[in-house]
Amino acid sequence: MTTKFIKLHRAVMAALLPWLAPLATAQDVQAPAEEPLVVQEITCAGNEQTSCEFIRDHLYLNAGDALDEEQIRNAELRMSALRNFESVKFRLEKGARRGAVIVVIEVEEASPIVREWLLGGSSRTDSERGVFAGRLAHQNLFGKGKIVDFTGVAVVPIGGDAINEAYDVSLRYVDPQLFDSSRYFAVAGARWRKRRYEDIYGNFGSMDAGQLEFTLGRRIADFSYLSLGITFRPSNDWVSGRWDSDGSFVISSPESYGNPGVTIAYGWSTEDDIHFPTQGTTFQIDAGGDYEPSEPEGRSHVQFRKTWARAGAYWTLKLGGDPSPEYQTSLGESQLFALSYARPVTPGDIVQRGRWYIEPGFAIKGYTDSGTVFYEYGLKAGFRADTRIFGYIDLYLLATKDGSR
Amino acid sequence: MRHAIALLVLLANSGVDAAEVTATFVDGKLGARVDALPFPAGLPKELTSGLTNRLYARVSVADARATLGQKVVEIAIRYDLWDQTFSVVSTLDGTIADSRTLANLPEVNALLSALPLPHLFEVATLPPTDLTLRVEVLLNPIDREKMQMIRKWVAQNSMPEVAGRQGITVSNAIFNRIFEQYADGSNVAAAWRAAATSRPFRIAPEK
Repeated sequence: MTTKFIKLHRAVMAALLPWLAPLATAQDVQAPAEEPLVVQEITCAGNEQTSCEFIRDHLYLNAGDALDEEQIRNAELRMSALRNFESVKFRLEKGARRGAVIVVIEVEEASPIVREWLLGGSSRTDSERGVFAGRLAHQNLFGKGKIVDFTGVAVVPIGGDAINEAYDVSLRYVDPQLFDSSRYFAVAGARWRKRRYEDIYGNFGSMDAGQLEFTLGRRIADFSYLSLGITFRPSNDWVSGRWDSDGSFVISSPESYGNPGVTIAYGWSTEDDIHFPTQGTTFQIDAGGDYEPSEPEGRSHVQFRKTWARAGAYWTLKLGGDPSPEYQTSLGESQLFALSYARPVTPGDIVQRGRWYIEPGFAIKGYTDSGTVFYEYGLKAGFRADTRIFGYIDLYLLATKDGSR
Repeated sequence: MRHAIALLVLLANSGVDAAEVTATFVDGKLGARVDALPFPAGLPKELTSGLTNRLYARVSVADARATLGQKVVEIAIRYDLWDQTFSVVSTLDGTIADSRTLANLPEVNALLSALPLPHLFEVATLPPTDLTLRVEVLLNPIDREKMQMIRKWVAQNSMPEVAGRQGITVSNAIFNRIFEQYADGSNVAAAWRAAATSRPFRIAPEK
């Protein structure tokens, strides 16, 4: 179509050679006085799932206002940023009288179904395993932005002297705007978790439990939030054993897995995109609570991530893995401390957005049987993309070395 | 030293996207013409939307060693819904350089297919060595300040009506492209942009 367009240009060009004469001298020319336009009405086109009221709310203009093109361009950008729409275009139509215009907001709605897949291989602390995870979510339930998602994670041992095996299945219902409040959000979920691990020093753990979770959160100021979560487990089959720094071996059912367990979390997020941040920070600290189980390795109680864009690449410093701010969740496997270097790939028909990345990192795992610190360091390399066919994918390999040997 | 009226243009060359830049010389000033810019397919519809569409052209002239000068030309095109004509206003570094009305879309297309950017650089100030013109054209550019504002809005995005708060939709390729340009360090970005460089040419001294 572009070629036809250019051909059309060329065909008509011949008749317009006089126009192609040099432009007049700058100071001699005045722009024509523009007739001010007035908004008669604002209408929508192309919206099937989304109400016109919702769309109109993003344009800070009303009927009777003078047409402000700056406002229209800003609204176009803001709305383009929403996941509700594939594209947003504004156009004007003639109103009832000269100078009165109808602003038409033409949208192409995006699918509310989100798919996310994780496929990785990792060799860590004498354990080789495959990591498989998937998430399927509907993000505009009832046409009101409620979310239901189903997530499954499997860490399958492949080889090695140590064991690390985990299975996790969860179903969540999320209300990002509880009772239509812009401040409150809530999550209700059911989850089943099974996990066992044992390293070469004898540290071990096992868990097999179903649980129900409820979280109520409140957003504070522009970017922060505070949430309270309660977890109920009908049976809490959980035990762990670990070496301590004094050389003693402690066997326990961790207190944080009591029934019910209470979690208080405080955090903030100024990132522009949870999957492909180009800037911003996330931070979360949990107290008295549970480890997030959706990450194959379990998750730290403190999480921090900051991204910079420099020289065509993205640099991300991470503590505690990838973030799950507010009610969101992310799938991923990271070391405790990591610095990620990522470069974007050119978008195409299949990959709509993508980055390959390398991520050196470091993690403290506990203590060895001799009471020394047990830590690992290593490198992760992968490719993360938003694809038209599969949704989000993250393919990676992660290898670490036991630094205590 | 006076420079000649003769301008030795060794043919234009496209750097990217098959666009071609040709040096032009009028009234002692060096300019450019950009042919065959691969505009987005939806441009004709955009042009008749009734909203102002802006073409932002950054033109730089350089020799083998350095950039010798840079100018910014902005061409604002607006369709009058009632008269069904197009007003075209060109500015050079912020000063209005030309203003006229085109009768229909084919005329606008003709203008865009051989985009004239005249009167940019005083020939007298340019050395008689091999020069090139580089033209970067952006459609409806967004400056960094506005982008920061939008980014903040996206990050804040706690609008009660919004389905999900995960920030930008990564399926929106246009928005992503703009973000990537800012990440690259550009001060002005756009959903569509193209760049091309002329073949070397030389301004011959008058004999």
